[in-house]
Amino acid sequence: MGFEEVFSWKLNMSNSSRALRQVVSLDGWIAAFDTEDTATVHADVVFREGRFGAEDDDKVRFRLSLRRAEIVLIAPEAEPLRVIRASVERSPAREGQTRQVTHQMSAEAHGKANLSLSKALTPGAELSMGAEAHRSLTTRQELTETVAGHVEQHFTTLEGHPAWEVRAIGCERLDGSPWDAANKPRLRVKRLSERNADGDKPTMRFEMRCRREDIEITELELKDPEKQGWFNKRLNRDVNLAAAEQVIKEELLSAGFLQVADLSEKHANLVIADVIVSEDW
Amino acid sequence: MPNWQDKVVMVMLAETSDLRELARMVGHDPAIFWRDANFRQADLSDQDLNGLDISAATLLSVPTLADTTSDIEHDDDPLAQAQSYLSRGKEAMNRAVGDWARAGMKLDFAVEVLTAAVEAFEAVQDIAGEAHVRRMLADALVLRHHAPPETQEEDLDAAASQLRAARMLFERLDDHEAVASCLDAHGMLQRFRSQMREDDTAIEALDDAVGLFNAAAKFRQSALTKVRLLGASREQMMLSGPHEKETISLLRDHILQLERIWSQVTGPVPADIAAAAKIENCMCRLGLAQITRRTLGTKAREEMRDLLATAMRASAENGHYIDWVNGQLCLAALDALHREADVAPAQDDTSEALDVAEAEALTRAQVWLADGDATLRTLISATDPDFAHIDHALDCYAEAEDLFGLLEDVGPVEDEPGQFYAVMRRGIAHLLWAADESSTGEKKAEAITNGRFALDLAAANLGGRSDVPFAAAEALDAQAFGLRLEAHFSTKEFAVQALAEAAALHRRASRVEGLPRAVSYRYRTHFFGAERELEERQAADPSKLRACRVRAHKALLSSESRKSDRTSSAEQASHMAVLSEYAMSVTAELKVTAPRDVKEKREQSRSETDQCIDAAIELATTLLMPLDWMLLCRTRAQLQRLDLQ
Repeated sequence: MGFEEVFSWKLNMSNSSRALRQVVSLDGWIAAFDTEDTATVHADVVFREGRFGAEDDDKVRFRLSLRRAEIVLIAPEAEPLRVIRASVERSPAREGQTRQVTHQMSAEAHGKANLSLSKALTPGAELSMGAEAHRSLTTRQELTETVAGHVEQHFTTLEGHPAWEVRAIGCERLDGSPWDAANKPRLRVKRLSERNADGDKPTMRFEMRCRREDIEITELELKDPEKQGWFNKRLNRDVNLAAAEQVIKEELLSAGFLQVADLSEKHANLVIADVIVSEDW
Repeated sequence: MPNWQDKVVMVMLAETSDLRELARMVGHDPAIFWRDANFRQADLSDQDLNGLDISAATLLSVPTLADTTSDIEHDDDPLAQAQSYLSRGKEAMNRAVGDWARAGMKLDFAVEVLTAAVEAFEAVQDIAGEAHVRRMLADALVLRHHAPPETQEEDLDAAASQLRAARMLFERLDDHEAVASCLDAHGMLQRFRSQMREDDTAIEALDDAVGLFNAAAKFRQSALTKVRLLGASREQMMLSGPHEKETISLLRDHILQLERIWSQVTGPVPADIAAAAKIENCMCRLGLAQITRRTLGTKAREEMRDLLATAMRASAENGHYIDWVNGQLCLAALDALHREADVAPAQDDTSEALDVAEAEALTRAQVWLADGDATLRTLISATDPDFAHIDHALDCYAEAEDLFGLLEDVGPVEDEPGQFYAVMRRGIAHLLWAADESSTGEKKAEAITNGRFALDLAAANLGGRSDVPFAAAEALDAQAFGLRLEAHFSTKEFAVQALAEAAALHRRASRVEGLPRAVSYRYRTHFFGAERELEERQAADPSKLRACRVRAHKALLSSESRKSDRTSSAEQASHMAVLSEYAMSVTAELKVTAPRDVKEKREQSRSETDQCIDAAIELATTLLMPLDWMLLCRTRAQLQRLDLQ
């Protein structure tokens, strides 16, 4: 797989989703307007892990994922749509879902088996194993554990657009859908007119943004086993690994992201995918 | 300009770790290239980070230049200032042991701030603080002395003077524990010093160390001091030259003692002791390998590395850096031993050469085993047995175990002896020693534990194997004898349990499939013996003991009638067991008879019983059955005691 493919833009005029195909999928729609000319707006977001390095001529392989992302809904001023502010999905940030887990374990030990023998065969830790010990044990534990998932938090961007931040909890990277796209619309809009100035149905745009620090590169290695072996043996290799990851990030950013105001700006928000949504019927 | 993948390969394989150079190499501005970089465990302590945009959060997780400069924030409170120096020094020491290859700069810093801490505590006249820091400064100096790339002997001198000063302060505070700790550390320092010297001066340093450890023992009876003394005596023996046999024996004894020390340790503080004992144990094992001019197998090497890693981690966590250094020295010795060994086969790297080496090792293992057996045979044949010979037999068996272990020859194949067979023989030798009248108290208990352990181990590895029925049954039978002996020296409750278990093991041995009838019969006779002993300890009912004697007598008559069949050693051994059981059952019955009747009954059966014992002892000696021999000797002694009553 080429770099372009991991990081390719899906150009489609009717639904111009531009996605980092492997890492994120972004889609959306506006439901049918009701008699009061209002409708719900839906965003379908799926995070995955991208992999690079399958092609024969690739020299490195790595995995790519996101730690955090923002989904912003932009209603262009020219469009005859107005966001009903009270309808914006703004559930408080979840601190992580929990679940009750019960572990029950039974074990029976037969001391006869598999005695590993150190050179000094003397009394010590292995003594009890030497005898024919038969022991059984049953334990039951109940504990509450945090389930890996997402934290979703509404906010409004500096430009005044409604937005939702999604962060991974219980794991290092985002994976799966942060919400139910069909049953959890992001907000409702009021239609001011059936057609915009161009005579088309009114549209809005979802953008997915992240920062450079949100991009996670893992398991980076050289495909040439000899070179990788050499790398594994070197001291302080984490510095060189960090440098290699920085090269990949720079390449990702300069090669394809849609809208980067200034790559050298430390906190620049990068648009990694967007989709134009309109009434879906 | 190369494409991005070439750049990735280039920076990964670059000979440099310099942040600026790496950024420039791939055409980026170093000032912003490292933003949000994930440095993981990288060490940036030798890098100048000025002008690079790296977040504070990132730098929190990695060692940086800040750790290696004396630019410490100043506090108006002098005590707080002193504490700050102390904590920075300790932190730098921890980082140094965490990255030993580049510890030098960190330790320079540690020495610098700890020296500042000493002055700061002195200024506020905080004696306890000053003593504590001086003690730590000594550790830092000892660490720096050993840190790569080069050692500086003056660091050891400086450390010694800090330890002396700390000791004086602790004495003023009446903190005996801390005084002992300083003496211990000083002793270790002398041990390290001896390694840098030759001949007489090295021995002098070790003598000095022993003196210091003994002084520490006056303040505090600690297993830690014992471990250090064992180390010093090991080093003395190794230096003193050609007494190989004594050294081997001493090292084996040390290994046993050290394993016992760490197996008895529980709780967080004695974890230091356990760690020191583990490191010393590895030193002993390496010493053994050096003396016997052997290398360790891969598995043994890995085991030793794991043991050292655990011990060194525990030492560092508990602030026992001197033990950590000792562990580091042990690792270096392990590497040195195998570097030489790894080079040697490369010069003659043919499988044929290896085969020859293996065959030689196998022969040597068998010779050691035979030597052990010969020693035991000499012992049990003597009119006045000298039990001191058992030490030699133990050494021989242990040597055989090691060699079989190196060859990964764990058990008998087609009844050829292997490692666990040697273990079993060693267990028998331990029990023999335990049964001797002259062994008493702790030493007897130790011998029984060692013997039981070895026999349990052998039985666990051989007992379940149907492919080697002889060895499997013999291991079970010997295990049962171990229990019977232990029962003899135990409380009634334990004895009853042990004898019941022993009877079950004898029975299992007799039922191992594939045994010739005579062998199975012998184990069954042993089973009757265990049952009789159980009755003796439980109720000692005269009628039941009489029944035992009658049963043994019948067995004896039956065995006597098959005299012509006793051509094989198995048949002879079976007959010996019957003779032995009869003599023992007669003795058991006499023991519960009223004293006035004993003499009469004893006279009635004297000739017959004595003949049985004599014949059985002769057979046990010929067939080399030390445990049976031991039981017969005990029986004879019991009869003599009854005579005197």
